[in-house]
Amino acid sequence: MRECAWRLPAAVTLLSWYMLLAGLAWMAPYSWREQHRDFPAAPPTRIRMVDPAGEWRMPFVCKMVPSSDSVGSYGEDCRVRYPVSLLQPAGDGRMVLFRAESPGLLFLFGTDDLGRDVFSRSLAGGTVTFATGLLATMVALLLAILGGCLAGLLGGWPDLMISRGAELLMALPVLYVLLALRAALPIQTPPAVAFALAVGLISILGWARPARLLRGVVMSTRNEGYVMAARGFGAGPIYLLRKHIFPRLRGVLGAQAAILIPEFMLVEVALSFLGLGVAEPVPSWGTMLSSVQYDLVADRRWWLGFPAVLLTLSILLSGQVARTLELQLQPVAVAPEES
Amino acid sequence: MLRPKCKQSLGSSRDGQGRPIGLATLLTVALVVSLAPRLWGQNPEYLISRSAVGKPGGRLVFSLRAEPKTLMPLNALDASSKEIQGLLHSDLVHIHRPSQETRPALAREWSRSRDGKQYTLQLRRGLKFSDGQPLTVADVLFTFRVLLDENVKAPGRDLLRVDGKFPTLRAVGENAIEVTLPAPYAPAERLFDSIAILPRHKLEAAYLAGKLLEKWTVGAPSSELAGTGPFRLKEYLPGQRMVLERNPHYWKRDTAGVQLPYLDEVVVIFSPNPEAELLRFRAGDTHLHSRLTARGYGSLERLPLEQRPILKDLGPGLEQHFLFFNQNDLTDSGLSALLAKRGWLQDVRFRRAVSMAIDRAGIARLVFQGKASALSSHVSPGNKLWYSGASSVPVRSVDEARRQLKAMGLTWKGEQLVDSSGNAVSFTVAMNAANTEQRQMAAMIQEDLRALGITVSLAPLEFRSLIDRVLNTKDYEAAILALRDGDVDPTAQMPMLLSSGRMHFWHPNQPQPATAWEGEIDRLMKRQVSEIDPLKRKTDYAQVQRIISRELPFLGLVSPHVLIGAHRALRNVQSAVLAPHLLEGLDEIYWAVENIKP
Amino acid sequence: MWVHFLLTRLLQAAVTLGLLSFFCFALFDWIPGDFLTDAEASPAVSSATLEGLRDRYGLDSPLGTRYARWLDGLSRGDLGPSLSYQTDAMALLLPRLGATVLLNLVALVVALLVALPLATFAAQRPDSWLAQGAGRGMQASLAIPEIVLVLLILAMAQAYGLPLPGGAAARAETGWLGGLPSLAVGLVAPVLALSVGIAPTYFRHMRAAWSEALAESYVLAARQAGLPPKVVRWRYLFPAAANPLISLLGNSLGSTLSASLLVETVTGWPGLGPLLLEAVFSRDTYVVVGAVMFAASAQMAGNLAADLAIRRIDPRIRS
Repeated sequence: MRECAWRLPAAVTLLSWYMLLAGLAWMAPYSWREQHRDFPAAPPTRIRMVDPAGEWRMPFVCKMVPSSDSVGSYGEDCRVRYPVSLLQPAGDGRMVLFRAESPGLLFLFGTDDLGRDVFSRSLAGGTVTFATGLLATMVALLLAILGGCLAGLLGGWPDLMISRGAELLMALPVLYVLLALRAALPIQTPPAVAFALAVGLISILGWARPARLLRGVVMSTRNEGYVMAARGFGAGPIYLLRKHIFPRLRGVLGAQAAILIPEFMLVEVALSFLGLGVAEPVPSWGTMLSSVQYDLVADRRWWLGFPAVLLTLSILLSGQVARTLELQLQPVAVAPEES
Repeated sequence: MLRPKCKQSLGSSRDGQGRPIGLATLLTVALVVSLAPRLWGQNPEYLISRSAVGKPGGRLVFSLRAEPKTLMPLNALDASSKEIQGLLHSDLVHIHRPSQETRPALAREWSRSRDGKQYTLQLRRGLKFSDGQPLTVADVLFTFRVLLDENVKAPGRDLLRVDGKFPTLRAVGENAIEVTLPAPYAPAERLFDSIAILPRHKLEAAYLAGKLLEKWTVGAPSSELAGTGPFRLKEYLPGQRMVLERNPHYWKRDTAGVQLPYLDEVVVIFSPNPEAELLRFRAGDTHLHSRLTARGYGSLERLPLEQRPILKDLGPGLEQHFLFFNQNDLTDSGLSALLAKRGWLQDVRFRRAVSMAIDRAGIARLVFQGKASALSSHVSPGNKLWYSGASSVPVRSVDEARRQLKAMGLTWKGEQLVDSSGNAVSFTVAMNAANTEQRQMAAMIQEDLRALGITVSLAPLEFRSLIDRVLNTKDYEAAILALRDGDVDPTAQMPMLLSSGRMHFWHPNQPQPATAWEGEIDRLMKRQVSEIDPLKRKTDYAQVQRIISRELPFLGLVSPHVLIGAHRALRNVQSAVLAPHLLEGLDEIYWAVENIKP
Repeated sequence: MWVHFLLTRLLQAAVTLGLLSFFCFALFDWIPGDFLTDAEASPAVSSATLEGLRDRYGLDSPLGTRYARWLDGLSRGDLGPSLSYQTDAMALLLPRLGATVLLNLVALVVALLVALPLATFAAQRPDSWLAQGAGRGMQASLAIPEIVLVLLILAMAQAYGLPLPGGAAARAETGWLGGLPSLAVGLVAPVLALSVGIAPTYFRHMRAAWSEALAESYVLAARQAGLPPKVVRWRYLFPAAANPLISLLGNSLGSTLSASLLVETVTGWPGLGPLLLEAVFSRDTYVVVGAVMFAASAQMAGNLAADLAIRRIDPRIRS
């Protein structure tokens, strides 16, 4: 059986990318909720090597001086220097990736309107967004396996019900349904529960497509000679599922997971875009990007778009993984793919 | 263009738009008076604008956030419809937005009977609708008949309710209307503002057939419409743009005798998202922007001088953001989680502590780039006539806030504030998810209260579900809302301030005032409505403001400044903190340069 | 045979649409707040008037009654009233539907014009730098989320004065004909955003199909027989490669209505997107249901058309 031939590198790259994000989030220089109210909308801090006298030094940052006449514009006073150091222990037992010597401030990707460090928030937000995508994918695939196998194995009216139900869900404008459901949720729920509910909603609406695919695979497997033979020998449905059908599904599931994770991440982003994502102050890429249109247009605060870059990279990686997995499934059909 | 001889309104001292009468004018007046009987019926008694004389011609483009939902003034509930209505129609008496005072419009002058119950309004002579048909007393009576008809269910009807009953109208002679109020009503003249006088000849048939509200929907052809506003509808492409053209029968002129408006055409486009709206204004595609955000304003300020539009910071407007706690009597509500918190959630000392911990200056600076003013009560300093200034904005003091909490018997377990039964003091603030500023304010308050050991969660909700929770199900702990006052007069606040009011947000529809201070507010508010003396009204309302800032049923946060922008070649740009900020003076605006054919 | 197929599919589609519409109705019934909640927060409207309005709009009648009334109207081609616009939902939806279809068709054509020549070229000379570059470029553009793309376009509009829809419309002469140039200018931003998302799919499938076709024995034979390349291309290669193209086209035609919602909303294109969003937020039930019905039936029609076309072209499926 060829489906076990996972091409490891791609999947590993993807996983390690998210591990990296999560790890870095733990080592973020600032807390994602800390508001530096004296430094709102600060552009990325410049890390310098040359002091005003023209001498080379170890990396340092200058003192940031908020301008008095308009909020969000800053000057630098390079007579006061704060050396930058890597991998410093923080007070709370964490190891911080980098930091400027106190009271210096180093905002690698600037700050948002409330003076929160965009770099730290992007990392933390990445874990939230990715966790949403991952959890929603897992739940959706579980539902899909259930639905797909039932429909594929039993046929008849269960098949009809499940297939039509899936079609119905696929025809719904997902975003609006999410919007509606979110509005009906109780509000006193703690953030973690609200998050879990959001995940649940996303996956309930997302199981239809993989279920249809799985149903197809189950049906075709059911009619293959060796499975027919096994049934002829009196094998029960559980045995069939375990021995013959699941092995065939594994590949499809892998590919579907790689497709669904980024898709659900984007649903999270879209939901946040409408203001209904994870509640403040917890960051997610969606909430961080939700007002970035205005940032770009009104103030050219380009640094607030940093999560978009990370998001694109993540999707690119996921796409790569999905493709390699698909390739292994159908080596003939999509043969001349780019390397 | 037809330019009839200048004929100044005889007006009265009430007609505040007249100029000091010089000798030449006197002569003209004498001439006009002698000719008057022959001229009446042909030329209207124009209102003479006292703005600078401008040049006719040109087209002006501005954008609205949303399409108007209807062209029928009776039915206009949304902001866009009201803004368009202001351009297509006129009222009898108008609230002059910049000064917030009443001015004559279709009514040339009015008088009040001594008991304050009867108003007599004199209509200008020779008025015409935009289709050339004359406007008479019959049209005015028709308008009010329709508006007050219960079967029509016009949303604006309730605004006319005085002491629970409606005024009656009758014609007096050919040109006057007598309005009888059921009770003395202080702001009676303001009632007439924004009530568009409708053409009977266009609408009566539909009204009698019971199909009035099917007329003048957004798809209606322009030939079916008629109004008395400065402009009339030329064409409407749904979803794209609306084109208005000059109304040749408008009832205003400038001092040089030129008929207003100066503009030939007004084009309204729709940009639902603020960034596109800002981009278009900055690029010069649109010429007016009446709701600039602080950041948009800043970006325009940074433009080089030759590209920079006219920009004005009008100071705090009538929009106020406030935080309030659920004060409903929840005993039978079954909301057990809320009931457990009632002890502190409904304690005024808790509200005071929260109020003292909030960094209002920080909100104004960070969320509104300094273009907002901190609030002490429910009245914004932008309300020129009624802001009392008696209570000052709370000074932020975490220590004082902690003392208040301690006095309530709350204690700290580590960092976390806990109540007498050891439960953490925590609550959820709901706010409109679509409002970025409110979300940011909430995030700041969350951090401010963390310093007190209070855990705050945030629940951004879609607007209608938020309102439904606050007013109907009462299933919330705290919420941030914004109030946008239509008018400055305290009477406009009655549904919110009266304890029986539906919009008494923190505890609506009380059968009896739940607290002594709410009863006191009820008394003061009811007294000022029927009080004719403005000074006494002002004292009463100042007292209400003091009570509000003492009892804090809601915590005023900030009132954003009204920031407006207009193309740099436009003149006579009038702006006001009252909505519709800029559109108000569109009949007098003109292009200073030739051939701005944008 | 194909009549039976068609009938079954149509029947299924009708059932799905019926369920879908009921689901939408039920959903809107369930969400807190209704169309008049907004007015509830306005001091100008008394509770009695609110009750009257609820009654007039039929908001207080039970769900079943409202749905039955809607179905009854539907049988007469009436989608029900728009509560906020006080007019027929149909009259409101049709012009926007037109704008959306126009936008999507133009975006599709632009995407095809870019993707198809590149794909055939990439299949024929897979090692050339152009083919390699196109492959990577397409892959990258597939990865850019629509939202990020729209942001990029807004940034461009900001930096280089790329026109947004409507802005230019204000400049142009009024009237439909006079509006044409401005319409074209306004299309630039949303078409760009949409076609970047569409092109890669076509590119990938077309390149795969084309290179597969290139390897077919009868194509090789035709080439070796000395037929001119043009003839080989149009008579042999193209029909062989057209199969995935057709089903893709069917799919994209079907999904046109739902694909561009976000782009329309952000760039301000006067299509279904902004209207639908507004309608959802203002609880304008009939407009939402109407728009969903349009989108879903387009989707099903697209898929059906693709299936039928493939059955016609591909003899293996026909038999």
